[in-house]
Amino acid sequence: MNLFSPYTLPEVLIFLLKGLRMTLFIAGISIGLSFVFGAILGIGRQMGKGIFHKICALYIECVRNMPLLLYILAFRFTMPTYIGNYKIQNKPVASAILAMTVFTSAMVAEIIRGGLNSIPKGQWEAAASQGFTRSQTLIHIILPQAVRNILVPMVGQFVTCIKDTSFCAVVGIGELMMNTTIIMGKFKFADQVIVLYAITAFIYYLINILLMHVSQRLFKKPC
Amino acid sequence: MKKIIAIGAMALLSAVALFANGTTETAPKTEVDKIKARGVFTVGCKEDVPNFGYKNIQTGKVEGFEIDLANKIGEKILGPNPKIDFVGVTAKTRGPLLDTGELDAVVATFTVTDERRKSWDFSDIYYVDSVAVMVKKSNGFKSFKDLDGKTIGVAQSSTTKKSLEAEAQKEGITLKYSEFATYPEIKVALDSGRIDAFSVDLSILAGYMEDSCMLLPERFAPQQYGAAVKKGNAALLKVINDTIEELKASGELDKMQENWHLK
Repeated sequence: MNLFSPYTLPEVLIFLLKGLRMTLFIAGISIGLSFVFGAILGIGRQMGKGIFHKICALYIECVRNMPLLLYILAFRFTMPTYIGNYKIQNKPVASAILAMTVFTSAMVAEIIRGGLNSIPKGQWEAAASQGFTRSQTLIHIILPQAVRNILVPMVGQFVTCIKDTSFCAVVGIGELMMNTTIIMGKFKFADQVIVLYAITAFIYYLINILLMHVSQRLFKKPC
Repeated sequence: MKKIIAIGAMALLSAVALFANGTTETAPKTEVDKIKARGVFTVGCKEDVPNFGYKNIQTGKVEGFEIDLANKIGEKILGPNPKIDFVGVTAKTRGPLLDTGELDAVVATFTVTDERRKSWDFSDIYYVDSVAVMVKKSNGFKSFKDLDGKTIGVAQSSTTKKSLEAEAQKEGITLKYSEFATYPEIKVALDSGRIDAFSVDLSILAGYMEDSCMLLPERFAPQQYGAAVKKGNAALLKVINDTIEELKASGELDKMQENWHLK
């Protein structure tokens, strides 16, 4: 029996890699946006004052305590499809990226806040004594040190983000998990499905292990 | 802090509600006119049900009997070679996506029931199926009655469980159920012995037949597939019904089903 009947192994792999491309596309954009929003939120919560601090804190607490799947479904079903008489195609991928960004940026914010917290208070005082303003201290002294501290949890969060894109299969986006399901549609035997799942699992593993190693190499600077 | 969280939650909810309301439209034009103006007919279809709606992994395009039918409906509205946007749906998403207005119609192995008629408008029936039960030959079940006390694998949000329950009561047996998100998962559960039988509509079940399995002789609860549109969308419903009627009259509907091994 051909293990991939009615398909061949190359056909299966190509289709899975197409799914991987979508996975990386969604994850990549979400990670990039989350990093920017997360930094603003994290710094805002740690150092902001008044209403800005409250908004950041509220956002982080609200988002962090609700499951990602809820956001993916909510954005998929509630993004506007009509404005006036014009139909705006609700691009499923766009809604998924938005949902992932909303969710991941709250996680990134907490990681960044943790990094800022890890810098001893004395650093602020020392900088102040040298005539640095608060923002100068943050940019030139605190952040460079904090970045080193948050590197590991940050890469971990990005790995989580790549894995989390598998939730997008629930709303029918053709990423790695969804494409696995589609291939499975024509499989009749348990062995076939188990092998297919193993291949998919291996692809996720490979990508994430690669990401870890590359990031470790890049940031392993002598100091 | 509690107050802030409460206000925040309310703001979040109202924002969501606002988005949802944003989808209602007020223009006097019918839905069909709007599709014509847009030039694109948006249809929800299955992507993982071979022969009905299935994504061809070589071409990346969906194909099947229901896709052909949707194309015919599209032709009726937009003329030859219509532009149709096929959106992959599941039993969970097809209803909400109709309600939000993202989909004009759903042609996705949607069994018509009285309960569902309250939420959406259904077209005439384009395919009649029945529920059947698949078991492993090695288990030695010969009829539905033999399944007394056994576990049946069914799909989530499907009508199968209800029809099985009715039939079981008639036969005076009790059944246990295990629900799965996708059909392949049920087949795997059957192979691995986690369930004793796999039950879904016959045409879908046929896609999973192989040598170690057999179908029990009983067929019950005719399942009628219809296309669905948003409640009150009479204009589009009429076009769909006209299309189905014409296809039935000319015998083309049967031919389309034969093409996809459904007859």
